[in-house]
Amino acid sequence: MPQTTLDFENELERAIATYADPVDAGHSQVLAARVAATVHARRQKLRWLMGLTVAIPVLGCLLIVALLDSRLSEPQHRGPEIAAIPSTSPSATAPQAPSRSKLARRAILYPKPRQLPKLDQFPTPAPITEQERLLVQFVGRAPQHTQQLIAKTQKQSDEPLRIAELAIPKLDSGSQPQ
Amino acid sequence: MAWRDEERFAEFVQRQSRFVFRLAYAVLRNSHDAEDVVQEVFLKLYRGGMWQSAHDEKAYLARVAWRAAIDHLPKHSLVDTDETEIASDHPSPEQTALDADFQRKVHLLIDGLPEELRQPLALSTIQELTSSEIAQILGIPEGTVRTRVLRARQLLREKLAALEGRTHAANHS
Repeated sequence: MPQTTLDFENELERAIATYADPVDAGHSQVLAARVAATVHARRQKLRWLMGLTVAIPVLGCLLIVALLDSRLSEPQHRGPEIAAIPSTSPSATAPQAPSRSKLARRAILYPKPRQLPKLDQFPTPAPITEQERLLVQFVGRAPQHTQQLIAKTQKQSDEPLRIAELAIPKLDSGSQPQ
Repeated sequence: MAWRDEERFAEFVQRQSRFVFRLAYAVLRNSHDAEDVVQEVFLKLYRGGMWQSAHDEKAYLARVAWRAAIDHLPKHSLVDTDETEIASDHPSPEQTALDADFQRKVHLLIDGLPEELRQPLALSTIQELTSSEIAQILGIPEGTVRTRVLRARQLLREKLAALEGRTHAANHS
C-alpha cells in the first residue's frame, strides 16, 4: 500500500491505467495472425463457392447440350424406316402448337411422302398380273375350238344367271303312302 | 485486386487488433471473450467492406468493438465485489506483493463500480481514446463522460481508503 498521498495517487493512476491491459502481454501478434488466418480461410471458402456456382451451371448446360445432341443423332440411324411410315395428323401427336424450330426439325426428321396427282378413272388401271399374263399366253397357243370354249365360258360368266322357278306340288292329305 | 485488398486488410488488422482487444477487454475483463470480440469485429468489417470507407477509422472501430463487447457481456457478469471480500483477499506484508495487491484491488474495485461509471473509466484508460471519442462511443455528452470518470475515481479513492483502514485495523488487532 502506498505510504504518502502522492504515492497513493501515483499508484492509483498506474493501477487504473493498466485496467484495460490483459495480464498476458504480446498476444496481439498471435491475435492478428489468427484473425488474418480466419479471413484467409473464409476467402478460400468463398473462392470455392464461387467456383462451384460457375461450374455447376456450366456442367448443367453441357449435359443438356449432350442430351439434345444424342436425341437429334438417334433418329438419323433409322431414317429410312421412319420415312416409310405415313405421317399422321399433327394435331393427334402434338397436344400444343410446336415452335418454329421444332417444326423445322420435324420436317427434316420425318419428311412427308410425295402426293400423286388425282386421276379421273377409279380404280386406277394397273398392269396385268402374272396369272393374267399366263392366261393370255395359253389362249394364244390353244387351238381354235379351245379358244371358242374359253370365250363361251367367259361370255356365260358375264351373262346374268337364270334359275327356273321351283314348282312344289301340294301334298295330298287324303292319300296314304304305299 | 482481391489479394491487394486482403493484404491491406491484414495490415489493418495488424495495426488495430491491439486497440480493439484492449477496448473489448476493458468492457469484458476476460481475455478469451475479448479475443472472440476481436475476431468477430474484424470479420464483420471484412464482410461488410466498410473498413475502407470509414471516415475516422479509430472512432468507427471503437464504436463497432464496444457494441460487440456489450453484446458479449452477460447480464449477470458484473463482478459483485464487496469490501469484505477485498479486505480478506491478499494480506501480504512484502512491498512488491503489496504493490501487486494494490493494483489487483483497484481493478476489482473498478469491476465493482456501476456500469455507467465503469465503462467511461475503463475506456478512458485506453490512451488512444479522447473524452469526445468516448462520448461518441457511449452515446452521451462529453461533459457527462468527464463527470462520470471523476465520480468513478472519487468512489475508488473512498473505497480504497476504507479498505486501508480495515487492513490497518486487521494488522493491529
